[in-house]
Amino acid sequence: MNEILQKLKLPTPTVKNKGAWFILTGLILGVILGTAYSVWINPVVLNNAHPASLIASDKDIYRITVAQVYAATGNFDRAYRRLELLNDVDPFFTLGAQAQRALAAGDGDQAYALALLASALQSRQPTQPVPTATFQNIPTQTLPIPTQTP
Amino acid sequence: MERHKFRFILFGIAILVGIAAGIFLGWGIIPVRDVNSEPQTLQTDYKTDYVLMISELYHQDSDLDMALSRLAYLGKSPPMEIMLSAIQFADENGYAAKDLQLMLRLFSSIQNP
Repeated sequence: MNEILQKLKLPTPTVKNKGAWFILTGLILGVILGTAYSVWINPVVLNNAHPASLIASDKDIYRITVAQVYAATGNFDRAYRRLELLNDVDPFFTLGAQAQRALAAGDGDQAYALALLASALQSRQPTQPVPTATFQNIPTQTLPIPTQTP
Repeated sequence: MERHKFRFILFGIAILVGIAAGIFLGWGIIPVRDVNSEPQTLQTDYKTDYVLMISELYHQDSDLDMALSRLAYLGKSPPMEIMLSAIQFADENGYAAKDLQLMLRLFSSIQNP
């Protein structure tokens, strides 16, 4: 067969090109299977998540709890630090919006707690140690004490 | 025949390499995008702080059912287990005695309702 093709000067089919496609097909098939297994069948469960990575509804619950604790204890510094963990772009706005949603849902207590924290957030910032300026010794001019001459 | 066999082996190796790459993608790269997590996957210190919040609220309202429903936010594990883990972490990491007492109070209330 090849001899005839050579006589006719036609290119002989090469196996190399076919092999390359087989490898690519196998790779793609494998990646699909591997990804499906590792993402859907046996996914990794992370145990070091940050509150900022929670889904919106869970962040809402977290925020309500922070606000309720603030309403109960009045500890603003702690509430502020807890709220910071959620990485809200505008915490005041987020609290206000959630308070409105709670009010619309008929949950007055939650709305009150959220509004209280929003109000506190607007009116004050957490207490931080005030940096104290360190003064260097300023050279003072010392005048000679006049002595009484007899 | 030998050539077919060789190609078949190559195809199998390609699939295996692809599967390895896919698993690396799923377990190594995709989970790194730390978004849309669930509360039960929170880091232990954040979980402990949340337990402390629940304990602070329980100290105010003494509503055990509410405290238990709040603890359910942290996953399907039994409340006692969640509390124990949090108290242990708080103890090991120097939480204030007052905070520890609040958590212990809720713990004992769950233990003896």
